[in-house]
Amino acid sequence: MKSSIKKTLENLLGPSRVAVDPVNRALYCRDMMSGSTLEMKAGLHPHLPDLICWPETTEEVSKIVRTANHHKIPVIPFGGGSGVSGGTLPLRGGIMIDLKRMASLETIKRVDDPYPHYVATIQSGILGEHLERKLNERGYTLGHFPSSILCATLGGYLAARSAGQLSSRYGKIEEMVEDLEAVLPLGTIVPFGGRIKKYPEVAPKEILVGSEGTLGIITRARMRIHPMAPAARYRGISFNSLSSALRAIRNIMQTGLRPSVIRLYDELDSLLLKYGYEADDRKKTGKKFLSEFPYLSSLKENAFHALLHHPDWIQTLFQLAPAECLLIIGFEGDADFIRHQEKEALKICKERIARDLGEKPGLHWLKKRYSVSFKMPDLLEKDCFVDTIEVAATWDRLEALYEGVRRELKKQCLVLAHFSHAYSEGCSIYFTVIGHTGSARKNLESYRQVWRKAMGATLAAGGTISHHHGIGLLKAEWLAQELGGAMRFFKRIKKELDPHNFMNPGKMGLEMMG
Amino acid sequence: MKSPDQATSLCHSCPKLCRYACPVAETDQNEATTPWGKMSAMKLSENGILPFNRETASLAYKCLDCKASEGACELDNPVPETLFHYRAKAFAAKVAPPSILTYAEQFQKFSNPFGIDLQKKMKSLLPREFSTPLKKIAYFPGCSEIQHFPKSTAHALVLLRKCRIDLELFHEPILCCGYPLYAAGDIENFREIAEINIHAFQKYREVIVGSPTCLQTIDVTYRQLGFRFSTRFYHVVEKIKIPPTSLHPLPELRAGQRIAYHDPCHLGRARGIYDPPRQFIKAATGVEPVEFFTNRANSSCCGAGGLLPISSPDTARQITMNRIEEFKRTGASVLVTASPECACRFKAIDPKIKVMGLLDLLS
Repeated sequence: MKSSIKKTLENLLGPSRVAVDPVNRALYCRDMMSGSTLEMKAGLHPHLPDLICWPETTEEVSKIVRTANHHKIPVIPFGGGSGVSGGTLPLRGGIMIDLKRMASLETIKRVDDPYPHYVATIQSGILGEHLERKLNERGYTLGHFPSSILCATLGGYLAARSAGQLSSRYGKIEEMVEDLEAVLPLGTIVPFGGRIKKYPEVAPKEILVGSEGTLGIITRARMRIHPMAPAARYRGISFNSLSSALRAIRNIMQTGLRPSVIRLYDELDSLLLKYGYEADDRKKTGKKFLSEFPYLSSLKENAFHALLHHPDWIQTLFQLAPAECLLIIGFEGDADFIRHQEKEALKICKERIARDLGEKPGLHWLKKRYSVSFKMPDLLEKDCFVDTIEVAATWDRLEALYEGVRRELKKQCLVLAHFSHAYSEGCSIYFTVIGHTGSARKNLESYRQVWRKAMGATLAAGGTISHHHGIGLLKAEWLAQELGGAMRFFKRIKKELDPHNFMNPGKMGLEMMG
Repeated sequence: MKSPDQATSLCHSCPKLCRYACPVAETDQNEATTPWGKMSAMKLSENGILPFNRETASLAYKCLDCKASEGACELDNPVPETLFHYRAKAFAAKVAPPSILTYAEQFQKFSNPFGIDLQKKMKSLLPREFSTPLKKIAYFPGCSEIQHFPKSTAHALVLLRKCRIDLELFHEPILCCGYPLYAAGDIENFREIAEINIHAFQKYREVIVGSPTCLQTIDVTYRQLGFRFSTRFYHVVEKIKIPPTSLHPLPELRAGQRIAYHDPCHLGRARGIYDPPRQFIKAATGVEPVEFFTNRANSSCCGAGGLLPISSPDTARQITMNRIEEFKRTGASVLVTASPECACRFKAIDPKIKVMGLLDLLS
């Protein structure tokens, strides 16, 4: 990169807000896509950005984008860098625009049109957990609780169309956003209430939310917020079969009940979850015991690896054994109202031969709801490959999708799944895949095969390849297959808004043929 | 305990799950200063991808040692300890930040960070009755308390005696635990101080400590360095069990002023001591302390730890200001804490707010 660009940006932002040093470049080279970590473990060096900068206002973002355009350099918007689809990888170097210094919760207002509700104006660089705490301090909640709440920003949520664990009550992020402010690829600022010149009939949020920084940079958003719920109830329900549990969820959602959370774990995932809530203390003791005897710890690891070499055995065993599926269901709101809702939901479950496990599993889930993310680094450090694949389908295709993906992957890796983010039309499936091959290179190869097979099986079953993790680089090659003719429309918008293809290039399949 | 290599490797594979808890990350808003960034940089330097030069090493100093990242990590990854390992490496290689090198050099003159003879100061301020040697229990105030809150030392001694604890004041020449050297990465000189202190401590069955940072350093860090000793260490608040009737608050506190209690990181997160200080405030003043919005295990740091004020003064200042802002939002008029280091930090950054040590609530 020319030093004149650095100079220009330093003049604009000040030297402390522009970095080209090797340390910063190395730490902005990847997001949290499992594949990137596996590549690093296999000794493959990632792409490096040329420069990182930290704007503090929308005007500064606009000026940076204009500078990049002038010098024909790619720009990549960067939030928490916690994405799992490679959405912020600097594939062609360029300028990383880190938005985290734009992290204010600016205003909270009551709005009466078209109905009384509360709206917060928020800068997009704020971390999810910090935003929630700031809202909580004032008595409100965004109602958005993704596993990434601890490490993702509001801008990241919006860019990837994120879904939180309580989406059944509060909706996905695209349903929470009322309006936004953004900087387009040529540096134009679209203010709140403004329109994109070329598309005056469409609200900018409809174009920009979910575009993963390929069509613009979201700098501020007006989000619908809620007074904190006065009461909450959570419980666990056990089903004898996955099918009957899915029918119960479908009925619950289609009769108009509004659980805040409804999550169904398949047999294997249920077992792990149950082990978790029944053995919390024992686990601690076990951990301590194993740490005292490293030999036992490595024995356990070797046994685990041996199991992973025959994942189909475990899965066959679970199909033959009488295992149960655990449903976690929760309600938030007025105490009497949610008690009534819970009663009705239980009634529907009982019709499908279900056992009420009481509140313990529900409360355990609530307490440990972000813990699953910690399993990932732990498994990666145990020389496994691991990832999560979140797909979705309408109710009539859901079981075929679940079976199809498992059938494709069962020889290669252990596949666990839970069903979450239920709607009256369908539901998302969140697969967790864990495998072990014995070498970093082979792990990477196997991981890539797993993704190819999973995406193929999803499309074959008529599902959607991404429910809330975004497309990024990881799923780019399958997006056109899913969107069909709509992909041409997406490409046309990209061409019109970003004629030089500088805005987060190489993502979302926008450069692929067809 | 994970080795530095295991610890950095684990962080490097993690999706930055503790970043929200790190005050430095929140203030700097740079990936490099998240716990993930700091640990990753160390990992990359071990792998030869980054040089271990001043630039890389400076990230090891971007840590308050506030235990917030450890508290947030479900894998119990020892982030501060690991970064301090790299500080030692940086100090030995002379690539530590210049301000740190200068600071460590100045420390050597009097074996404390204040450049004064602490023993002399202590003797001039405290009643002679507590200097009677040959007891089995000692009170170790720590250098910050002697320098900034000598009244707290007197209060502690009187209160402990009231609790029927027969003790003496620790009166050996070195009255600093050496934490500043440990945080600077000067392990060689830190070990020397530790050796001298342990030799002196071994005369006692118990040592009651005024500063949570000293307590953590002596009771945990010394042991981590391989030192073995049978002396038991306690924070003063763990030992004071007095009926409220025998406590007399300062006259101005009797007017029902609202008091907010700040949890010191090295007392709360590091040792799980949350209730005793609150109970003491209630017993001493008759009113429950007001809570900060982030408190107990989630308490934000005051910005004094890990020598951050020396290595990154602007970041440290902002962290302190954030905590002071939080204090102002509580509506309380007095900020009370159980750590002389925290109290000193708050006073230094905002002299207008009323800051008191826990034991200074008493007349």
